[in-house]
Amino acid sequence: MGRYVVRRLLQMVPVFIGTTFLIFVMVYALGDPVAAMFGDRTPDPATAAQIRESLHLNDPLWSQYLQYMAGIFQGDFGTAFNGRPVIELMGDAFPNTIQLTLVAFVIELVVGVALGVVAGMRRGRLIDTGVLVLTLFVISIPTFVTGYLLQYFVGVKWGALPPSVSTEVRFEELILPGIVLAGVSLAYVARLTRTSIAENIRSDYIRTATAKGLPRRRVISVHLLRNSLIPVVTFLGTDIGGLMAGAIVTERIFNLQGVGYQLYQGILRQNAPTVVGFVTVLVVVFLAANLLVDLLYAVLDPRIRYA
Amino acid sequence: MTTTEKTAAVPGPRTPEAAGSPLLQVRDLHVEFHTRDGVVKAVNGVNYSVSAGETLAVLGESGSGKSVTAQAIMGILDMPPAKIPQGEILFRGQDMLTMSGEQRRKIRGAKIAMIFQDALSSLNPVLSVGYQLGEMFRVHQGLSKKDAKAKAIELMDKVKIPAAKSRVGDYPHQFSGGMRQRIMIAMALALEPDLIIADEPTTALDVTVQAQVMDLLAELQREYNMGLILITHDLGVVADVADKIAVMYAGRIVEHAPVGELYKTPAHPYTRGLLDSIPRLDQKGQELYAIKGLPAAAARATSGRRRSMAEPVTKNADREPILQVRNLVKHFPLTQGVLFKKQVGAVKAVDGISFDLYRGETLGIVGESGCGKSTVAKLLMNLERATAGEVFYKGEDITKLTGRALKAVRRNIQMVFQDPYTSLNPRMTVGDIIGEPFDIHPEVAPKGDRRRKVQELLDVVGLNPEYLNRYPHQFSGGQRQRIGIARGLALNPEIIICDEPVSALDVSVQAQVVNLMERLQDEFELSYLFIAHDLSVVRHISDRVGVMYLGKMAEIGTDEEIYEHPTHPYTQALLSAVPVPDPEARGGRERIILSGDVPSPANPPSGCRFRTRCWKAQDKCAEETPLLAVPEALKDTGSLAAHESACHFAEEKDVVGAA
Amino acid sequence: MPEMTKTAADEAVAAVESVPEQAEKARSLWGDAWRDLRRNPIFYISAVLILFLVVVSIWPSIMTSTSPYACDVSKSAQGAAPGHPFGFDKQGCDVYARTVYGARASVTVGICTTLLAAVLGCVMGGLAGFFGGWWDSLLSRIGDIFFGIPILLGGIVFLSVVKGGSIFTVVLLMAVLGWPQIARIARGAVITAKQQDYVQAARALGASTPRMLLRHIAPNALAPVIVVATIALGTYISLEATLSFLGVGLKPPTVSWGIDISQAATQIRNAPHTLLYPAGALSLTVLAFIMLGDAVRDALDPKLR
Repeated sequence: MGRYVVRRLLQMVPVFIGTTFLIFVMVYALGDPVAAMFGDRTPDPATAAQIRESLHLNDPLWSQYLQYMAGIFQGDFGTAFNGRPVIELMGDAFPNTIQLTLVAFVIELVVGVALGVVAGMRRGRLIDTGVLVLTLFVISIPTFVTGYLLQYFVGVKWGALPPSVSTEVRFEELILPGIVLAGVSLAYVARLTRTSIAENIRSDYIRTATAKGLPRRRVISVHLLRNSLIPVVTFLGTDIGGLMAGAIVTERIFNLQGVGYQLYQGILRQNAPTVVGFVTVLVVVFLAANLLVDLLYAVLDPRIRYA
Repeated sequence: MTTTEKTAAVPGPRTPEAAGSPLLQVRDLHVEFHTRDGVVKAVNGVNYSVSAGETLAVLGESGSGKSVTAQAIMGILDMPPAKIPQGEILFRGQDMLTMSGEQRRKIRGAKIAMIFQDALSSLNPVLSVGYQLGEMFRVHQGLSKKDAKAKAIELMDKVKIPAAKSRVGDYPHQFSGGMRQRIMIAMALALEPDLIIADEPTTALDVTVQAQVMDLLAELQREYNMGLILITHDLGVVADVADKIAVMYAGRIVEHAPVGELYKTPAHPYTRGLLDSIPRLDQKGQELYAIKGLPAAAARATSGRRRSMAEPVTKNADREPILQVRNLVKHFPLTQGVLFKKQVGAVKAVDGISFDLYRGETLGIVGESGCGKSTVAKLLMNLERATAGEVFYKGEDITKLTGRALKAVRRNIQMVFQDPYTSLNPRMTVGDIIGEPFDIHPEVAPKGDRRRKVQELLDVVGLNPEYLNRYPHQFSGGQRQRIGIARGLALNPEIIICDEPVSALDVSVQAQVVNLMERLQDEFELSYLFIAHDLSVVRHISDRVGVMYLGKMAEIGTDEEIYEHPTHPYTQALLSAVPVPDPEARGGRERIILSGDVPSPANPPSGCRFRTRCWKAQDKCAEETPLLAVPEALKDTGSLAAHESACHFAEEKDVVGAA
Repeated sequence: MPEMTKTAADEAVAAVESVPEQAEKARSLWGDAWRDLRRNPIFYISAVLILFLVVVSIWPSIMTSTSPYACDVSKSAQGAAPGHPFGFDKQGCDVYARTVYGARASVTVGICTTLLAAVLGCVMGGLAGFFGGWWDSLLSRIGDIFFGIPILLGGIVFLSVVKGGSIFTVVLLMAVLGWPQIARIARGAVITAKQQDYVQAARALGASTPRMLLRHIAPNALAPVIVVATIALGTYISLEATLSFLGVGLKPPTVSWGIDISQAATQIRNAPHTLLYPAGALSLTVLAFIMLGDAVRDALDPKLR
């Protein structure tokens, strides 16, 4: 197990470097950060040269990258357009996004798994078809469409839930954005659970469990559910990163000042440090979630653990 | 280490204690499956009964309904799609089909328990075996977790799993196949049920392990005076343990009789066919009987060759070998390391094997799983590169060949694979599959001639030449194996290497394919290297036999020598473990039950590899690796030169009880 | 996933099947899948929808004679009128015409991205799976690097920098970030196929590497790739709309549902119809491709039925 953890960690290093470098290249090599700072105005050549010098923009790209990464490890992500350090913006933004992601994650987990289990156990019946059709629609309607529709109907027209998030970020304000953010993932979780349950319910060890004279409740809870949820856990873990990325859209609709909001501002103002900083952190979260999933998988499935 | 016992010495009669009321009675049972494609009647009016202490064998081939009947008794059929429109299943006089679900559940596991064929898939992979064993006590007897665990350890001891205490927390995949099956048995035994249903309990196991497991099962049955329903297709196992037999075919019982009677005077033609279709370990000579009306085109295949016993078995002496294998070695590296893999050892799959294959003969290679026999096949075909050693074909070492030279040799050495379901590309027509050799070697058949050639080959292997455009999944297992053989024949090779060619087939189909292969050998002057784990089939088809153990050749010689005068202890154990389909032979044969499992080929014992399980082992065996040589004991007897054994203490012993 | 073991029902059915039908026609696996597809009503619904969408994106003029660019600000946000069944948007453009013309961007982006990602994914995944060892490690790690950037995030960063907005850049970007998903599937499928005995049999006959790859491995590894690619097609369309909605994807003058939805969203209270029509069209398009993916999976992977 220990060896497995170490191997996975080491495998992640080149991926981390490659991914962050890729983002770095996109922003610094493909774009022109100095020109971007001045927007539509043409910068004074001397000033531009000075800025280039101070940002090490004249160094080769790999050296810029190394300096940037060195800065990151010391908590220095550079300065945002308004003169505030990017790290401060992160301090404001991440708590909001994490709260939203958590709410969405819980909804996805509870509703998704429940729907999947019910459908998988009654395969081919009405309820199964119902779940399939429902998830099909949820997957098909893009998040920003559901977002606006739910905001308009549930929030504005019926007033059942607050339609947007205030600066205090109260829990009930996060329910609606949480549902919207969870939507598509929830549908995938339900489908995955359904397939997994339906496959395992026909397996030999379930037959054995029944032949042992175990009550049906025990067969399902101890033998069927535990085995069937292993792939679902994998999906859920990988999806945490996906949720945080998807929050960009949701935050925009519900006016939540989180990561998506800051990232969006950075893009609008063409501020490279903000964009690269936030995306780097998100990618790290994504990679960390992947790693966590691998480890969790090993914990849940002894066949991996002792491989 | 090893126990040698005469089964006849076991005390007590095997007859049921009281013939009065049977434990379980199945009366006119019908089972149907309602599927999308219509209703399949799997069981059509089955009657049988079993009493305490009695063993009923239910015999039949796949799809005969034998397993479905058992699952109906257990009440574990999925309903729907299954339906029981008619019949009674009486347990101690009470019809279980009319009981409530809860009543039935309390019987399951506690009064009637079941052992399944594939223990690996039948045990929950993510729960420890201790948990799964303990579950029986927790659910049925309400024991605490701790007490249940203690009981689990007790059970594991009972079924002779070494170091039960330290292994109770291990997971199923960490055990060997034999040990896993013991765990299944332990689970069935947990609550000392009245009746055990064992569904092909040893089919997936090697023959020496099968002997261990059957032995254990019989012993425990006697101890607890349980009824046993043994579902199997293996006539040998049945002859060994059953009191009475029910033969099933197409959902019906076609014959039901005490074991002695059935083997001596089988009444139903199907039973007779079944008995004649199996090759016997203790007999040789007759052509196998091929049951007609079963999977297709058996008729052609029955005109086989006759190998008369008068034919001199020493025919090799004056002939040049066509294939010479010298010190062949294959090590698969074991790597470890976090970032950079470094080699930490090797699985010594094949570790110095030498033998000759003569023109027109069949050399059988037998051994249990993991002995390296399939790796030998791959090495000879150059599908794996040899680590060391040579294989000479017409004086040329083919292990070093590449490119065009290798391709040329491949025309002459072909292969037939074990699994007819994976050896044919499912997306190609049969015509394309058999014609592919001609695409690769266009010089063999000009383009315009190919269709005719392919049809000829189909005809030769006993398939309708019009089937050209069909796809593999439209054929049965036996037919597919014929297609595989046709492909192997296409290039007109001199040697065909057969890796377990019939082990995936039902007994009756197996007979047809074996007959076909014998006929083809005569017709095309083929040399076969016939690799199999089934000693009876190998005896039937081979002229000479090599016995492999852990990557080494233990003994090699003519089939008569090996089967009737084995000198290596492993050969003797192997042969004695094979059940002979003759209940009369039950008491007369000496059984050698080997203890333990085959050691890991990554870390084989020093010296003689078999010494850890051998009853003759001495210090010398650990220090000095025995070489293949004509055994001292045979030298003066003027016995055949073509018999070599790799044992320091080689000594003849009759274990087959030849008829 | 471990292979399913035979159930009692399978066994019983197998017994019946082993009796050969003499009159049986040749049936290829692709043929079987095609027959299954044609029995599935979902396939028909999605196929008709997709056919319709493709035709509309090629010749939008058969659906409407109004130009999507003929806008009249005086009609801003008005409701349905004769000849303008969906009304007008904020700029006074005809919503019906814009909805019709919007199909082209979505369908083009979806199909092109999928083709490009599938080709990239099959080549990379196929090579990794077939050659294994060192190649596998290298190609898999490269895949991991691209997989480490969620398409939406990477799209926002990249597109905001290059200030592209053409269909070409959007397709390129999504394919470059999307191929690892298909490569993973292709790699697994190739490894599975490679281990089959029929590949060994071909090698034993002396078949060349290209022959083994193209004749034996590729046809057998293709099914799972097709399934994943079809479902991915729907999500690519959805992603393009999301990027356009965020203002970094397609840019005017290209007509895109994402752009229109983004503009309509600001006036959802007074002119909900300007949101509903493009949103409905977009959802229906994604739905059609995802349903097709479902139907194709059911046909190609009968195990899950």
